Amino acid sequence: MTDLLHTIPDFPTKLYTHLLPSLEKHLITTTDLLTLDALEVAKRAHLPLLDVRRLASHVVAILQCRLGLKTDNAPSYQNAGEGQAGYGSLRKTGKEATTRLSLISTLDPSIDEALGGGIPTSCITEITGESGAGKTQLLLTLLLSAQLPPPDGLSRPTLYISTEHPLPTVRLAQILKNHPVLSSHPSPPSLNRILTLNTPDLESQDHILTYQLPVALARHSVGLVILDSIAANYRAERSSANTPFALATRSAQLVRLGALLRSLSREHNCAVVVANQVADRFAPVSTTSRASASISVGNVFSSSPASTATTSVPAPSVLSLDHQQRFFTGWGAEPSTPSHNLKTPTLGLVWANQITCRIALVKERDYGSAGTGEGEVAVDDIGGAEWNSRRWRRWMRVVFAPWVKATGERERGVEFEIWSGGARVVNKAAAQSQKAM
Amino acid sequence: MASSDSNNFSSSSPHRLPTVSASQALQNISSTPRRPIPTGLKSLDAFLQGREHEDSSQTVPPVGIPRGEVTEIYGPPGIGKTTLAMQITASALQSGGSVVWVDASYEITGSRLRDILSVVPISEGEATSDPASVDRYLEKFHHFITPSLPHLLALLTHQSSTFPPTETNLVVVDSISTLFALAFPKTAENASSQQNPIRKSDAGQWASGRRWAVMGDLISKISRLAATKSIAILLTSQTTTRIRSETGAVLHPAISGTAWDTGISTRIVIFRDWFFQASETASSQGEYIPGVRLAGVMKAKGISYEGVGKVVMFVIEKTRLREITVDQTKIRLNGSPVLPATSLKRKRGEIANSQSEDEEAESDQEFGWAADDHILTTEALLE
Repeated sequence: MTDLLHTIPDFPTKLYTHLLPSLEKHLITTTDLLTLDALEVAKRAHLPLLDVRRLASHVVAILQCRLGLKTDNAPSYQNAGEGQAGYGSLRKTGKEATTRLSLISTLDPSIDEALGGGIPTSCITEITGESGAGKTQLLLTLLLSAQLPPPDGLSRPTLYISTEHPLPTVRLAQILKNHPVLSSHPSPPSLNRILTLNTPDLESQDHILTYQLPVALARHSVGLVILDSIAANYRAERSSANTPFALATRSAQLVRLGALLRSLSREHNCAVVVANQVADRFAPVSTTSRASASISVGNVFSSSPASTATTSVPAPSVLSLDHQQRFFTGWGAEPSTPSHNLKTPTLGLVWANQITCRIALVKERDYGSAGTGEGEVAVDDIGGAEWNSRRWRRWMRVVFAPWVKATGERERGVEFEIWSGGARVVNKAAAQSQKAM
Repeated sequence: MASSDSNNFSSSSPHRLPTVSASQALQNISSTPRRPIPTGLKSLDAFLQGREHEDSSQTVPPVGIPRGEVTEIYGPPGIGKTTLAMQITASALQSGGSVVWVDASYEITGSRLRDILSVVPISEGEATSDPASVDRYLEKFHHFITPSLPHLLALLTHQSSTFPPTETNLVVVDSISTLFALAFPKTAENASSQQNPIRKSDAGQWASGRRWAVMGDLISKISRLAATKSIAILLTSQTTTRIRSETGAVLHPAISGTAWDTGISTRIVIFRDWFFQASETASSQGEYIPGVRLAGVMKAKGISYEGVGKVVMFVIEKTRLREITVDQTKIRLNGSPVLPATSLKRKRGEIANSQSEDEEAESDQEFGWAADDHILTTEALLE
């Protein structure tokens, strides 16, 4: 029954101390209590039937209370479930459920526009991209802008959980000083209102997120939680093995982490933004049948002879992960992209199922040549031009989000650049003239 | 059962179908307004009837998501499952019913629902679009959050005099698979017991068998709720991968199993692909249309279709889903032509057999589920 207190944190366990140890020992979960007949539970756990039945109906009564239902299971126990915050909080009327999103601005009108106004509260937003693509820059700006009063922010403190490097305070101060909106604001954000937590390894991350984070959120009324980056600790742990056991454990951890972050963001009405790294995606292994599948991928829906030749591919192959993930990873959605050299956000489909929104930051080398037109893929040019660290071009793409239109497959997204005040959109005209010079 | 007077059934439990005579039943079928709920995508509505669109040239019956049954929509993240569910919700609200929306994962984006509600004149004839009517519709919209599986069970499978609200004709459970993934982590006990077979005791077996038992229990109770109250129940589900020998990792609904699949009478998969619309002027490939989603009806009226079934193409716009009509014979999915509307090649009929074969063929080892698949197949034999 370990999950009972996760499900109903304030369940009056005192009343049932004589039952819980035995239920625990026999692996009876709250779910079992609600699905099995009390008789079966009682038999299995060697407990008196009536007591089990009483516990089960009490659990149902409390849950239904929380859900705002009138319960007719055990009216006499309702007293025990009442009188606490959270009563009926899981039910909303239509109007309550459709209130406007509260958003955190990125302090750049064009980026905000692409994001439908900014980063909303009560959901998990992922920002993914290669190292140096600008993830941290965007996150730092959010740490400051969330402190602004609406409509830019939430007028609430922010929390930064770092797994890799400590909070770059020097850079934060620089952004604060240089960004016109932040520096000229009547109630400017302060570095004092940014809390930090450090989670150097997976074990401490688990503990901190489960036990310290909820307390911190409640105490300081935090409006934005940033986890930078989510992948680091998992990647380090994972190096040991790719065994089924390790993969299964990781997937369970991710599911739990997702549920935890989701419930925290809902209960405290705060935004959760996580940074994620990317890995290289590998083209399908060249067994004969897979090769034909990957070739035909390029010809989808065209009626050219090339595709008719591969009719042997079974229809479900359109549902293959290799093909479908082009559309939810952020890389490879454009029909003419080659299937090699694509990136994939780490942690896979399991994690993609946990997040509400994914934003991909793409960076490419800029060679300053006039031929860098839209749609050209830079990976073909590797080794061609001289590498120059100042000539990176960066784009932001909305891969999926429930509140705003995703970036089209053929669009590159919003081009932005990093400057002393954070991230800002590249002015197209200015960029052109610069190129001409 | 103090509450038995609150519902109209004479039987002791509201979860039991009332007894009716055959003649009365026939009359009910022809007279009761158990209208299905239109999805707003015409071809999809037609496919959901489980028969050819052309056949029903006489008085076209109302079509859409069937009431009294359970429908499942699944697909990869960000594909539009929730948006489709919202459009169906809007359509149900506009037809005058109440809708129960249960969020099992993140909360519904309210502004989006408002957008869809404000414009969509799904039920033809009435094309109002003033904000006042949106608020009126929203009065019949009941929103619940179920952070864990016990919450969902308490909501849907345990009796309450105030649930479902009156006139409910649609219950949506968004991302139901999240709860199962959380309640039955695909690992701990069963994976460790694989490594250490001696510990696979009675207790271990109990724990790994519960997933299937709970799944079966939930789906049977949900279908009963749908049938007794004449409600359309719509579940959205995420995907996991299964490794198949010929194609590698393939997306698969996150909840599946013999009991679950038999409980689902309609299953829709949404996925994406590239689509070039042929035109006289354009080059060989034709004009590319971005953002195309495909909804495949894999199962309708209890009949399963091969592959992804009959396919409807649509794009997501701000306020609605818009269908793209094309000459369907031109559609090719990943090289293999989709035979639209005629793809009823093979009835899977009694799914139990074919399903368990599939189950064995797929290696689920990656997630440490191999042991449980075994249990599933034995369960299938027992049933």
